[in-house]
Amino acid sequence: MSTIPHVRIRVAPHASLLAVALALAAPGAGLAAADPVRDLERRIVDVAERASRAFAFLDNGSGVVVSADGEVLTNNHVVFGIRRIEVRLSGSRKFIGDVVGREPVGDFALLKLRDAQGLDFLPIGDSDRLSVGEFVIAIGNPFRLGNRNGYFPTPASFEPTVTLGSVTGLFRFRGGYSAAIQTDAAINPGNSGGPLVNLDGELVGINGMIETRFPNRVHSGVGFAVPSAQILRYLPRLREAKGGEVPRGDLPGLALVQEPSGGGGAQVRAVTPGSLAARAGLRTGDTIVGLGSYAIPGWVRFLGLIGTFPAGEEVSLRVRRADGETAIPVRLAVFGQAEQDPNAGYLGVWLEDAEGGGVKVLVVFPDSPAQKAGIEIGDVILAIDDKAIADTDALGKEMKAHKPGGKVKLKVRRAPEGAEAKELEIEVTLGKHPV
Amino acid sequence: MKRVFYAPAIALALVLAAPAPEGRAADGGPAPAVASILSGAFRSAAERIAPCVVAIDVDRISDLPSPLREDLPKELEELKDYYERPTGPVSGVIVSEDGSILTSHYNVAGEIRSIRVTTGDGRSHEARILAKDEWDDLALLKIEATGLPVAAWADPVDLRVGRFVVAVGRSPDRARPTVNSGIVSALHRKDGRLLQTDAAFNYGNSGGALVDLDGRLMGIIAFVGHTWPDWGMNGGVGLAVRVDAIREVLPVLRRGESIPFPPMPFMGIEQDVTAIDVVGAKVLRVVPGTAAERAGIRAGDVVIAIDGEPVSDWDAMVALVWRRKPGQEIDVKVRRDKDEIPLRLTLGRRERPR
Repeated sequence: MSTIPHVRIRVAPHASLLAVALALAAPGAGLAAADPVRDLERRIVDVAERASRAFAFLDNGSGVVVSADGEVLTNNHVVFGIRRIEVRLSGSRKFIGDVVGREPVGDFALLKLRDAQGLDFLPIGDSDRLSVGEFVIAIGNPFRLGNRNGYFPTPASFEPTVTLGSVTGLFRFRGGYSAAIQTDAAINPGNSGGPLVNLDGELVGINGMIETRFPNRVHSGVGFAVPSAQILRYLPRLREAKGGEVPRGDLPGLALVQEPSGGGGAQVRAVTPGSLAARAGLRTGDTIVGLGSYAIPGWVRFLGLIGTFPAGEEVSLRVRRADGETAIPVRLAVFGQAEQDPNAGYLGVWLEDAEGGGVKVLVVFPDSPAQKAGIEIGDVILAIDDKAIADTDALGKEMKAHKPGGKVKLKVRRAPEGAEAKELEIEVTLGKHPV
Repeated sequence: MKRVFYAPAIALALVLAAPAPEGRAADGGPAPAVASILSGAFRSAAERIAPCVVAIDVDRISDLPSPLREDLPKELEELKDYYERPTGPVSGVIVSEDGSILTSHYNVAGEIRSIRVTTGDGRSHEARILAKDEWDDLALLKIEATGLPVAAWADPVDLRVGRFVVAVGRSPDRARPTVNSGIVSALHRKDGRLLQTDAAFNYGNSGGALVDLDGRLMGIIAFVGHTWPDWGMNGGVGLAVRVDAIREVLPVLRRGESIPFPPMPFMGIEQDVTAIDVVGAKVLRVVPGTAAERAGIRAGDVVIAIDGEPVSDWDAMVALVWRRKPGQEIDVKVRRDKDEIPLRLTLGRRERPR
């Protein structure tokens, strides 16, 4: 084995480059030609060890400690409908964690462990500095393998799973994951909420979604993580959310040209009069080329990145017009609400267009009219009061005709995993929009 | 400062220090050098172990029953093949120059007519089973040969999570090794008998070698689990019998002594994982017809002591139960509403544990 000093790098990339080079070139280091591989291996071992110490076992998934006093990040779907949860850290130490705040669409949540101090934690890095091809490490508890490592459990029984891969894509748009990191590090059910870590030992993402084909919910080489840059923008408000939701940002009133622009930005096709986009000063024919520090190559990237900012955040758009580039500041509205008539009846669900027509329920809000009526995630709403619903737009329009307190009859297709689909009729008493 | 004395090292540093704004692969310089060093390391590890890895073809009269296959509802009939053992050779590793070969027990499970081993030099040998260790999923085979290449053992103290691993099998092509790389994902699965890796294991890898970058044997690739409902082929979760577990049982197997399943106790209760503030082990469900049901344990009960030893949580209860034997009578104290109820339970026997 070589005698290269153990290089721990937490400093800026350029300095770290120098540090590695210096360490390798140190006189008397006895460096063999093949040793960069050993150095890489040692570095992976070191990061794996540090990240594992900050790993949190949750009942149905994973989490990561991000502060010495017990702040834990995870996916919202891991703590869905839960206010408090048992959390185990390395060494099998048990804590009670309270959900402090959540972003249900972006699928992340902040927990706080009771009576925690001096914990090992992962520093939150900047996912905007990731490159495709860069090595990343995922830590998780796939298939709950680490919960009981055998038949003779000991305090050391809880051991997470460490997998290595690379960043295989950036700014992926999949459902609520609108600017996700894609990785080929093995991610399986149980990894959800666990950290994606760079080789500097920094948290760069929260792993939460895998691309699979029904019914094989197993690592496919395509995993998605919520980027740390997005989470950092929400963190101050998650801390103050008192267990509630932090609304996602949106810029309603913009119709974009939905064609490839060759990297030339997002072109505005139309602006709804009176909408936030109009009030901010956007015009038909504008090309949005920047959002905050991000370059905007096209319309999908723009829509994706908008959701990585919380509602109420002021962002700056860079807009190209015939007379040059101009900066437009805008305070983001609440996603999914601004375009709704606040006087219309309220269901309390997030929806997406379902394949083959109808709208699919992605999230049912706790204590909402939909939840009380028994609507479930995955349900596809096919009709309201016998009027067929083609997509989310149609549903929005239809809902305007119904007032809070009124009753609607939903035709719903429900297809539980491994069972046959059935159609149900569910009556919902509509509520009032929570502002 | 690029590529002066320590070109490969600096090139690697550039990759590690991503995102480096300059000096990356764009100029065709450093990145290929790093790639070749890394792939060279995997290649040399594979080349060292490959001669010691053999292909195993098993001619079966009948296979183990596959309950999942039998239980499939009629409408999923077409999935039956998914739960069948795939065709083609599996792998094994030579551990003595006179022809002792370690493989996964699963590879030689069932009723067997004959076993053929193809060594790296292309020769085919009749093999017999010397001994089996069902608990560790190992079997020792013997072929009549001399002067065979023998795998070198890794030092167990060198096993670390994050270390590079190379998986070498000899399937589907008996003539050429199949090589996959990854890292050690975890070290203490199944009481430290198994290690876990993200190197891709598929059916033919079963019984093959998992080595470090020096080509030394860290483990024997275990049952690849295609009959488990959770995962079928490679799922990024692969298990291998650890070198220290192997070295512990190998002398026994060499004497021709098989190691049966140890008797494993069974209560028949399921954990209520939502009971997070509860001191004790809260029961979600009692499996009908089991020891727990006969003893009078009910759903919602909290087990608070076993044979007078207090139970702080589910894991503590499991640890206490596992130290006892099937057929043994134990005192179980449960809390039901406000009452503490002493029960007497005769432990059952667990069938074929995973």
